[in-house]
Amino acid sequence: MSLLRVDDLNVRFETDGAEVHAVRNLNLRLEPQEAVGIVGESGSGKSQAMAAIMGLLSENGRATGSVLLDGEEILNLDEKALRGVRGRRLSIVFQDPMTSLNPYLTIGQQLSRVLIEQRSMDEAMARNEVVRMLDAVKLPAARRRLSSYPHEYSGGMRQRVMIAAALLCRPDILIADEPTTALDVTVQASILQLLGELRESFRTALILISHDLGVVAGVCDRLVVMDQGRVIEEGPTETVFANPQTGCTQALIEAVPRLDRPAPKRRDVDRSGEPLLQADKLMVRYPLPRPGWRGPRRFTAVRGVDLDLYPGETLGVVGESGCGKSSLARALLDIGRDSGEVQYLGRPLSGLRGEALRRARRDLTFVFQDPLGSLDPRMTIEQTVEEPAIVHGLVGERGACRSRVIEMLERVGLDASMLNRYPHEFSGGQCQRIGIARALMTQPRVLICDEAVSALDVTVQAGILSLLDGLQRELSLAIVFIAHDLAVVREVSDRVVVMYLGRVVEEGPVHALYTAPRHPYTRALLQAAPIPDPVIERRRDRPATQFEIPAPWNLPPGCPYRQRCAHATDTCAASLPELHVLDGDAARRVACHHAETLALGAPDYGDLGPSGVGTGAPLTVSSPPE
Amino acid sequence: MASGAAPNAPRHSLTRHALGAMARDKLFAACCVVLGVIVLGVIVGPWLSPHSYYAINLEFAQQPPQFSGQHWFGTDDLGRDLFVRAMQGGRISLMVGLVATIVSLVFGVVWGATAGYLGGRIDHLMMRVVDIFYAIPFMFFVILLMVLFGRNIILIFVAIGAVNWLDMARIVRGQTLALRGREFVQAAEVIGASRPRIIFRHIVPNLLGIVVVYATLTVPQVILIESFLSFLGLGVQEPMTSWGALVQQGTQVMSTAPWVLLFPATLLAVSLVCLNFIGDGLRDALDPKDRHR
Repeated sequence: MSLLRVDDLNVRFETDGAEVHAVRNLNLRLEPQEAVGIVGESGSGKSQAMAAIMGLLSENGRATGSVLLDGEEILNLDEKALRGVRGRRLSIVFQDPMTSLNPYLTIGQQLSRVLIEQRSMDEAMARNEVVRMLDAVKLPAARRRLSSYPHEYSGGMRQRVMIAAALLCRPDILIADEPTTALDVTVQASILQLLGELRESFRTALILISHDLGVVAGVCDRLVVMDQGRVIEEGPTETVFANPQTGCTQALIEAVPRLDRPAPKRRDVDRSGEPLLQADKLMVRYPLPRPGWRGPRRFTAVRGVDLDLYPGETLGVVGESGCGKSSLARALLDIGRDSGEVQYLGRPLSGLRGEALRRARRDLTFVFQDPLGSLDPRMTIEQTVEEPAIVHGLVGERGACRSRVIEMLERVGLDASMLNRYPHEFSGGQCQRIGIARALMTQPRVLICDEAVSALDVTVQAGILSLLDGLQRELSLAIVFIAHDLAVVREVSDRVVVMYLGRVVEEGPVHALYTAPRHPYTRALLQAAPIPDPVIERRRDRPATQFEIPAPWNLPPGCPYRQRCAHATDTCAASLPELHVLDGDAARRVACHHAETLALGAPDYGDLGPSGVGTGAPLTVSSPPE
Repeated sequence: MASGAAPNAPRHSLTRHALGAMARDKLFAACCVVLGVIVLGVIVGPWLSPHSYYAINLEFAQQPPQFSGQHWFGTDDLGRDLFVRAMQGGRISLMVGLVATIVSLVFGVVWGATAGYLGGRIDHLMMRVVDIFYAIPFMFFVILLMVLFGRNIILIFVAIGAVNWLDMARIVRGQTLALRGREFVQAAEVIGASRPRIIFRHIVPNLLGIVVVYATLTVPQVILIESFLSFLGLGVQEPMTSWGALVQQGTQVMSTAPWVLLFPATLLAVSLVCLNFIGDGLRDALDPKDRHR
C-alpha cells in the first residue's frame, strides 16, 4: 500500500463569480522514503495541490477527490482532526523562511512549542529535542542559538530552522514547497544536500515542489510534471530527463540554460575605442536603521568598484544576495553613489548639467527585477511606456507619441491592444516586456538589467533573454546584466564580473572565467549551481560550504572570503588582496593572494566536463507560452 | 496574448473609469441622490419658506409638525420655524465639514507626501512642525483665536482645518514611506523624473484609496467638532444655528417636544451615513484593479 495515495484531486477557486480550476484530476502515489519532485511553471497548480492535501486552501478554495494517508482519508478533514495529521504525519516547509517564523519569539520558544503541543513533552525535554534536531540540520552552535530571534539568523539558517521544525514530530512525509527559491546558489546547494541526507536518517518521504529542474534533478527519485492544473508527465527522474514525452516537458528542460553545455557563441566586441560607461572606485553606503552603541553607523554596500562597459557588449555581474549588485547598478546611474566617479563617454556623470545630463539620462536606462512592482498600478500601459518621453521633453503632452509607444510594444513582442489596460492584467513575462519597452522609449545606448529575469519562469525567462539579445543586435545596446544565476549570466554576457561583499573578486571574458576560474569563490559558485540532469547531479561531488556570508558591517580583517575558503592561509588573514591583472592579460583580474599558485581547475560537471570551444547553438527560443 | 480594444480606442482615463464604476454601484448612487436632495434643500429651503430662521413667535411655541400647515417640522420653544432652522443649520454644518476637509486634504496630502518622499532631515523638520501643532491644546487654540479676532464663523473653519490636516499628514507620510521603496517609484527615479512629478504623478495617485476613506471620516468628525464648539458657546451664536446646535437644543426639550430633536438629528445622521458610503464607493471606483468587477 502506498504511504500517500491521491486520487482524482480537483481544486477549484471561486473568484468574483468566475471559477478557477487550479488542479485537475491529480493522481499521485508516494511510497515510504521516496522522493517525488513536482515541477511546473507558476500557476500550474503544484502548490495548490499540496495546500489541498495539507488542508491549507484559502477560504474560497474547494477540493474534491480523495487523499489517503496510510489508507485513511485526510482530504477536507476538520481543523481538529487535521491537527493530528499536520506535523505528526505530514509536514511542510515553505518558500520564504523570513515570513514563516514569528519575529517576536525566540527560535527555541517557537520550536519547543511544537513538541509541547504535539507530543506533550515538558519544557526541558522539548529543549533537548530541539537542540538535537537543530544539530541534525547542521545549525552551528545550536544550543547557544536557541535564545536568538529569527532576524539574527541568515536566510539559509532560517530555512534550516524551518526544516528542523517540520521534522520535529518525525513526520512520514515532508513537503518542501520551493524551499530554496529565495536562497543563494551556495546556500541552495547545502540545503538540498541536507534534505537528501535527512531523508535517509529520518526515513521520511519527500515531496519537493520546484519550478527549477536543476533543483529536483539531484534529489528526487520520481518526477511529476504539471501544466495548467494537469499532470502531463510522470516517471523516474532519469527517464523524464532523458526522454521527455510531451512537448511541454521538453520545452521546460531545454529552456534552462546549462553550465555543462557549451555557451552560445557571442559576437566579437570592439574594445579598442573609448568605453561608453566607466566606473572608478565606486562606493555606496547606507545608514543603518539603528546605530549600535559603539558599532558602525553606516553600512558599505559597494566598496570601491571599477568597471568599464564598451559599446555593444554585455557585462555580466554575479554574486550572492547582499554582495552589492543592485546598489552597484543604481550607482552606475549616479543614484545613491557615495564616492568614486561614473564617467559616461569620458565625462563624469555628477558634473553633467542641463542638456548633457538629460542626454545621459536618456542614454542610460534600467530594467527592474519585479516585473509587476516596477509598473505604477494606477497608470495604463501607454502612460507607463510614454513616461520617459514626457519626462525628457521629447513630446509635449500625454498621448502625443502613441505611434512610438506602439512601435516599442511591438518591438518587445506585445501589441497595441494593450495600451489602455493596467499592469495587473498582465503576466510576469508581459510586464517585464512592458518594462523593457519603457526603457527603450528614449533610444538608450546602455541598458542596466537588475535581476531582470530572476522572477520569471524558465520558458518566459528564455523568451526575455532572446529578446534582449535581439535588441542588442538591432540597436547595438550595451547591457549590464546583473543576476545571481550563473548559467543565465553566461548565456548573455561577453565579460563577467564576480562580486563578493561589495568588492569585485574576479573579472574576465565569459569563456575563461567559467572554464578556468581563478578565485576560490568563483569556483564555489560554479560548483554550487545545479545542473538540470539527474545523472550529472548525482555524480557531482560538492564540498559543503562551511560558513555563510559574514555580516557586511562586521567584516574580519584580511580577505573577506577567507572564512569560507578552503585555501586560506595566514597571508589571507593579514592583508586584503587587491584586484590585480593576471597572466599579463589586461581583461583578466582577480583579487586573491594565491591566484597565481592555486590550481583550482575547471568546475566539476561529472564525466562530461566543460567542453572547450563555444560552438553551441545560438540562443534561439521558439515563442514561449506566457 | 491579449486581444481586445482597437489601437485607437478612447484613452482610458482614471476619471472616466471612476465614473463608470460609480454608475454600477447602486448603493453609491442611492447615497449620492439622498445627499444631493439634502444639499439642495439646505441651499434653497430658507429662500422658499415664508418664515425666517430668527423670527420669534411665542404664540406658536413648541408646535408639533403639521405637514399641511405652516410649520412642516413644527416650532421650537421660542416659536421659531424648525424647517428653516434645520436648513439654515445644514448650511453651516455641511459648509464647515466641506471646507475643513478640503483644507486638511490638500494641506495634509501635500505635506505628508513631500515629507515622506524626501525623507531625511526635511522629513524630520516637517514632522516636528506637525508635532508642535499637535502639542497646542485645541480649546486653547480656539479661545485664543476668538479673543484675538472676535467671534466669526470663518475662524471656526480655520481652527478645525488647522488641526485636522495633522492626522492626514501623518497617515499620508506613513503610506508614502511604504510607496517610496516600491520599484515603480525607483523606476520613475531612474527615468529622470523630477521630484514634484514623482510625488504628484506616482505617489499621490497611489495614496488615493486611503486618503478618500480618511476624508470621508473627517467630514462627520468636523461636523461633530463644530457642534461641540457651538455647545460651549464658541461656535455659531444664536440666532444663527447649525445641526449640532439644534440637536443640543433638542435634547433639552426631548420629553415635551421630541420633534425638535428628531428632525435635525435625522438629517445629521442620514448625511453622515451617506458620506461614509460615498467614501467607500469612491475608494473602489478609483482603484484600477476593481475595473472588471
